[in-house]
Amino acid sequence: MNYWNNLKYKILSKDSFWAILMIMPALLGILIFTIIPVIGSFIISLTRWNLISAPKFVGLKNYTLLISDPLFYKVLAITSLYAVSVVFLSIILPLILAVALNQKIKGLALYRTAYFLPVITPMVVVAIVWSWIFDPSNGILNFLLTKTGITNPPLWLFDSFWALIAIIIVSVWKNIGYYMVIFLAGLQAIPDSLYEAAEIDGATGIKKHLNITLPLMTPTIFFVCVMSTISSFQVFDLIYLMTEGGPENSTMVIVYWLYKNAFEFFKLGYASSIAYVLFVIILLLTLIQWKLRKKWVMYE
Amino acid sequence: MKFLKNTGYGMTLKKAYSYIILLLIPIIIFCLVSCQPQEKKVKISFSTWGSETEINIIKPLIKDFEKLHPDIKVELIHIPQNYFQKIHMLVAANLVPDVIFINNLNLPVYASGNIFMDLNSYIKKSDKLKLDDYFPESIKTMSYKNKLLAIPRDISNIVLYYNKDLFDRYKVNYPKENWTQKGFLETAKKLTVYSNENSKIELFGISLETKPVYWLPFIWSSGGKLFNQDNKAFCLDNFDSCNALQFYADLRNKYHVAPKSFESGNNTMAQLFIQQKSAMYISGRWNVPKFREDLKFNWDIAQLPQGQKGSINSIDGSGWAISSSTKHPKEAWMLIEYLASKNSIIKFAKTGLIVPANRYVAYSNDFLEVNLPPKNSIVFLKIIKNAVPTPQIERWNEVTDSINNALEPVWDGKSTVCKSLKAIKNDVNELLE
Repeated sequence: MNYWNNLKYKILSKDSFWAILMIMPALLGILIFTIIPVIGSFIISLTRWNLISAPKFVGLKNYTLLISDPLFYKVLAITSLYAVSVVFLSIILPLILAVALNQKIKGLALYRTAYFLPVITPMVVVAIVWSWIFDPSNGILNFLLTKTGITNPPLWLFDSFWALIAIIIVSVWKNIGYYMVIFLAGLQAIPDSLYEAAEIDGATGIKKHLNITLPLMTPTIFFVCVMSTISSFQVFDLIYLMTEGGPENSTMVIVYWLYKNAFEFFKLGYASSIAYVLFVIILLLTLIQWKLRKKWVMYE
Repeated sequence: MKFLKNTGYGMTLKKAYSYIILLLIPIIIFCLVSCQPQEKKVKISFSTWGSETEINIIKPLIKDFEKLHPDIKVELIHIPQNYFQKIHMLVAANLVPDVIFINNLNLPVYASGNIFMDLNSYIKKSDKLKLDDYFPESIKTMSYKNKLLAIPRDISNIVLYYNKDLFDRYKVNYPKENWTQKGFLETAKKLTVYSNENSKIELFGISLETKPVYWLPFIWSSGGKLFNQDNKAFCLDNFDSCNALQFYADLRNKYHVAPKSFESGNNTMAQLFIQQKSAMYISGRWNVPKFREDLKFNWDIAQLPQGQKGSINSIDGSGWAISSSTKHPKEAWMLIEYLASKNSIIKFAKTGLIVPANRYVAYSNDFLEVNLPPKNSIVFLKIIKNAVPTPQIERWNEVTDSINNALEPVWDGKSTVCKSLKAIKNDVNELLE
């Protein structure tokens, strides 16, 4: 009783009343466009619904169907392969770039801009230009490869082995600048005095980076790792624009598969159950990363 | 706040009156505006897909219709991309447009949800539209389980486009009316030209699409089937169908007279034909407006080659349906009567975009006009007679996706038709249940 009175007082007391009123527009947005749909999607996942006829309650059948669907495991494997490669490359390459562009070199601003440009380029443009580049017979990439003496260059988007690799290349290229900027911010937070002290102790270039830069960058690396894991499990636009999951389902990632089930086959229930499984996967991965961070992330 | 305090008790009566009058003025204006006798306009919505040329015909038609019926207002919902996704959404949101443009392949899904009205009684009573005006086959494409669900606008079937100049250059005879698949293959071989330097193919005999719509005529022509009689069992893996489809695939791999997917790359098969990188192209009427504009050479169309059972084409179509939840069925029907009238259909036909379902327009000069290519437009009408309507099943999208996936390795020459289709038989049969 006392607790409720307290709460009532807190809500009605002038300050918090105004505070709640002011954040209401944002809060309402989240409620209407996120929380309610999330609950709604869970309810749909328990039904069979094609948007046309009335939904039919089927309990957990969509989930059992999903678990017994061989395509589901293929899709999961492809998505994981994509995610692992993209996360790995999105840490290594931007980190190296950031260290390089943190030096005082000529044309620094130009380089930084160049690497950041893909980030602000719309995905549609990126996808179209890269599919021209990857074109097996008219594309510039295979033209250059044949010039360098490779007689049978890959067919890229038309080959079930190379298509996923092509997609990985594009998405790493697209995000390199974004993660580079995050790493640059991290690098600039490392005090110069540490490097000076190391130099006095006789440390050289690579040793300084291994013993000072890398440990002090671990919080940033952790952040990039979590963010890129989440975003690469949700990859959709590149697949939609470049391969539509093909050839032979070799680039069928989970969100594109979900989209196909929902908006091509109109299996809304099944698609919602895929969404929930994806949610659980991402949640688990993030929790694992959170637990493991104590083992390798350094805090001052 | 200060202002309010001043208007408080210290205010004179005169001042108070003037404030009241000031307050009243907007109220009176508001009343005058809203109390005006309301126009009794019936608003109906009409959804359609279509390119710019199509919309440029539809918009004036709607304007004329509104002029003719001042009490009706038509709201055009143009959905150029992902049309049926949007319609599904509108159905789920209970916002189905009153008049909906629809094609035969998507008809069964909506029919099973009772989304469209049965128009049989309407057309029987109509003094403007008559069932007899239409090719009976096109009425079939727009019907499902004995209900006429849409008034047909057009028929789509598949023909062979060919580049006359290239035929002349390589001294190959033009396709004849009753040519066989053997003759077709010979022609394609003669038109496949290798470059001297690196023995790469410069010119392909033909460019082929891979979606079922394009190869189904080959199945029918050789006596094959897609499903059994009542559309409950998958039959594409039977002997005749497999052979027909294998021939289609062999054109790419065994004979290599058609480009493989990586050889066309980002070019569509139609683009290869436009760029004169292929001498023939198999597709439907909808290419004509673009080809009239883009093709810089002499071209014409011919019927597809004969198989064992002759040259049997497919027939698809699209037309206008009325939502069963509409509040204005009368007005919606009037709009359809207007859109489907002979005069309107002539306008559609003149662009070259459609094969009219109205046979009087189809056999008129508006469709067959000889000033513009293709000269041989009559082929589109001749092949209607024996045509097989594309089977109407509810889960068409899933079935074709399954077939397309199974055939992907076949198009690349990594598997045979029979083997690939046998593997999906059970899955497809489940979808047909």
